[in-house]
Amino acid sequence: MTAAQPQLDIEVLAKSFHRNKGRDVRAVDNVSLRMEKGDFVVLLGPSGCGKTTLLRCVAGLESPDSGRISLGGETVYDSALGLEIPPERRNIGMVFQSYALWPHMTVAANIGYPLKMAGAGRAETDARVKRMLDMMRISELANQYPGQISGGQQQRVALARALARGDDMILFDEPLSNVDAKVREHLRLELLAMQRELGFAALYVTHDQEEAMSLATRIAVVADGVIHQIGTPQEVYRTPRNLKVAKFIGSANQLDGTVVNDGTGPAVETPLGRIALKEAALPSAVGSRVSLISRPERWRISMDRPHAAAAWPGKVRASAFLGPYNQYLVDLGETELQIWQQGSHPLPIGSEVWCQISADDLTAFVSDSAA
Amino acid sequence: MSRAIASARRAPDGFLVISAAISVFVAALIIYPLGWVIFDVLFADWRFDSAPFVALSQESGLGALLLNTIIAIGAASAVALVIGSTFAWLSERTDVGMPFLGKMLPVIPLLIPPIAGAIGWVLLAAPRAGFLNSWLSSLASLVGFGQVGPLLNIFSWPGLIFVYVIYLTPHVYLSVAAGLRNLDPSLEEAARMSGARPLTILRDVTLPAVAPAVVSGGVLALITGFALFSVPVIVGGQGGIEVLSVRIVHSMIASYPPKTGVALLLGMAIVVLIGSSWMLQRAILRAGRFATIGGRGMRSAKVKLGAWRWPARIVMTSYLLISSVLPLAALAIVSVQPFWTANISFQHLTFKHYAALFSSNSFASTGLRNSVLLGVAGATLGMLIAAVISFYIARNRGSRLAGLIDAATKLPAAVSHLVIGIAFISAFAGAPFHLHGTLAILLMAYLVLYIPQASLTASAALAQVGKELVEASLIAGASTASTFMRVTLPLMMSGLTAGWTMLFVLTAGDITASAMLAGNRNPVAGFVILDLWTNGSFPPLAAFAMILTALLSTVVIVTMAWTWRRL
Ligand SMILES: Nc1ncnc2c1ncn2[C@@H]1O[C@H](COP(=O)(O)OP(=O)(O)OP(=O)(O)O)[C@@H](O)[C@H]1O
Ligand SMILES: [Mg+2]
Repeated sequence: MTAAQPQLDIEVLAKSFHRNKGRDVRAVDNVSLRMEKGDFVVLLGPSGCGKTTLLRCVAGLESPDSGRISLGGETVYDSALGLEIPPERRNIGMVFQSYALWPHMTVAANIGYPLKMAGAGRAETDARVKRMLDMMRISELANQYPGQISGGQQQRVALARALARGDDMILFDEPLSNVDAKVREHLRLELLAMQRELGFAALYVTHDQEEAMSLATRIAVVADGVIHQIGTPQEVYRTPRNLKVAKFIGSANQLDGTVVNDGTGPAVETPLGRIALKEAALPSAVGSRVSLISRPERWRISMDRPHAAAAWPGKVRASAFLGPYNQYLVDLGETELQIWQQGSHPLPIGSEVWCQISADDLTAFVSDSAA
Repeated sequence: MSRAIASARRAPDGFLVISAAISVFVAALIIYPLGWVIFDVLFADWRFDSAPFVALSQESGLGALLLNTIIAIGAASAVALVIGSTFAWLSERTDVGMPFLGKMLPVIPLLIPPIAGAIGWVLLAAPRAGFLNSWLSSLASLVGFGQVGPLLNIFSWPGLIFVYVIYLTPHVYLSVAAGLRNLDPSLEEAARMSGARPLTILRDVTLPAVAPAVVSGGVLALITGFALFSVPVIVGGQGGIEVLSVRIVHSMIASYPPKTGVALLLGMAIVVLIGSSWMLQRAILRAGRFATIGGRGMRSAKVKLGAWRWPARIVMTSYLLISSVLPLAALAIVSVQPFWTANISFQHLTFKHYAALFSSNSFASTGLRNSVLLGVAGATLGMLIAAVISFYIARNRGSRLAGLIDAATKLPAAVSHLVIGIAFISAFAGAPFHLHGTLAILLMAYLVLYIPQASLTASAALAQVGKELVEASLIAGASTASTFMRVTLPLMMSGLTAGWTMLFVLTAGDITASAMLAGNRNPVAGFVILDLWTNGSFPPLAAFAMILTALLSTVVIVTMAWTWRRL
């Protein structure tokens, strides 16, 4: 338990499921992940990519096939040694998607249960439960049963229970997906404040990108059981490592083309014509297929032809006012672009417009044939 | 929806009229005989008649009778509750890993009718000629204990309770296993993450959360036990342990004229016992809170049994042996013996009892044929009627007539088969219907007896169809009748098939009503079995029980395989 030890250390963990009458699914495919104290790592990825499975392996609720997991320097799973510590001895808190509050116990009894199991005395448990209730601002609910309180309140109780023992590692499996948008936003901020205050390490699963961006110190983008990229929200958004990550995070426009170089400098031949790019920005050699990814908010549209070199004429096919910005779908010949731009009045459908973007905002990736 | 209402207002919907008529007819078929028998016995000539009470007070050993019933069924239900709940927990929540057993357990009473199982256990553990006794005593002399007397005696208190337990356990299992399956596993996982060990979780979380299922399993066992006639008539009779159900049937058939008054009042005692069981259930359930907060996470971390895995497997397998394999084996052996003996000799094997059963127009083969006929007719009619009634009730929720019909279809479960049997005899056997001993009275009685189960499965099947699908069809302009025929019925099919199977098995294997209502002219399987039992002709009895079991299990397995394939 030295300070230098990472809070969570997962090494080449693998877990496959056998589907009925089907091939095996590699739900977790040789994943390695290391978390320090105070880290807030969000696992983000499409449905069925193995996020829950990874989380449950850490919890001990699922038996991995191979690999190693250690918590605070203590090994809890090691396939080579045949070691597997059961979940009740791992000292991890967990918030379940369905909250999993015990319907026959009061709110206070629910929160106090982990302490009771840890052998804490009555007085100590009561004091700690009271502190948790105060912290979550639900003191008046102590003697209610879970069936008598609202969804948002249940969520707070579930959180309080997970934190009650003061564990250094807390797991969250889509904890906010059952509450409505307003409450969700509020709880998110509370959770963030709580985590920064108590300093536990959090491993958090969600589908919701906004949630991931706002909570994470680091986001791990998972697809097909593999972590494709892990980094700060800014890194993952601005400099995605591959096409999969780029397309999964945020909204993206994709332009497919071929790398060319006719002597004047490297460029990509696309349906919109030839787009010049810096040598360093190109992932592969002349003649290979690449995809240019751009974010909708990096595009500009105007009614007049801009002076910039790279601009394309198009026609607005759809237009919506979203408050902070307007959302457009613009046809540039065969190509369709999604563009977000501020403005008090959205341009009407059918407008003839000019679209432009700086070459720096186009990121080139090697095309994947599946995409 | 609004269009459906509008058109309903313009002209009465023919289909709803027909289904209302069917529902009312069935309700009448249930209520009329019950009302009639109570009136006829207690208020003949429009004034209260105390004669039945006098007759009852002259009955011998009433106190012992009541006590026997409560002790035997209470003890058996308690044991069944423990065994059934344990098995349910093992197969739903641990890595014991015996999916076949989990599927088999609840259907054992359907595969092997209790009467066959009870007879099988008589053959195994009767004091003199029981197979197990003879094997055990030769084993004892082999290992040097010398000559020992019979070790097992099925005709005893433990024997009677034991056979009850075999047949009550599946009811508990079914209820508790369903409760566990519906329980969000993350409730238990949350407890594990809180540091609780598996047995602590069982005590603190699982048991309290499935308490309603456990309690209703126990109450189901009690109710089934009170009404069960086959087990005590076989096992208790010889042991001199008489219970209520046996005395009731005997009051109706063993004396002439039937002591309807006594039977009815004793039947009322059973109704009271059943009612008290329900009150007990409500009292227990009111004390706690059980609303489960639903969740999506439907996989659960299985409890690892470790060293206990094999003992658990052995215990579960033993139950399968005890409840089905052993009694069936005993029946099979005796059915090919010239006479029942514990000395199995292969030279004297004979199939003559089977041959006699199939020889044309013997008493037994007529009984079997009638039972199959009644089973098919009763199950088909019963499920159709139940489907129509459940549809009618669902479409007219809130109306007083629908409420009345709903209550009427539940009534037979509350008043027990015995009372229904009595009511049918006194209402339909004599003038003006003169249906005594006919197949018609049997068919009507079976329909009424099993309508609660039938409408339960039908309304469960209907609930699965979902209101939107029906409404979408009505909006699309289909009449109520074609909505029922084209949307509701096809979607209910797999549920109805399961219900049909259950109804067929219960009807074809029925003992209670058959004992009271069938006659020598129109025997049915249950009647034949009791007749053979009374005559003490064991090999033909065993052969008949084998055939009946084979028939019922074939139907169950075929329809189960059919519905599984379609799912
Ligand atoms: N018990 C199981 N048996 C067979 N396959 C399973 C089992 N549990 C999960 N899987 C499969 O493993 C894969 C990963 O599942 P997992 O639940 O981890 O995905 P997820 O990323 O959490 O998805 P979601 O975002 O929808 O919750 C899926 O393809 C799933 O079908
Ligand atoms: Mg998941």
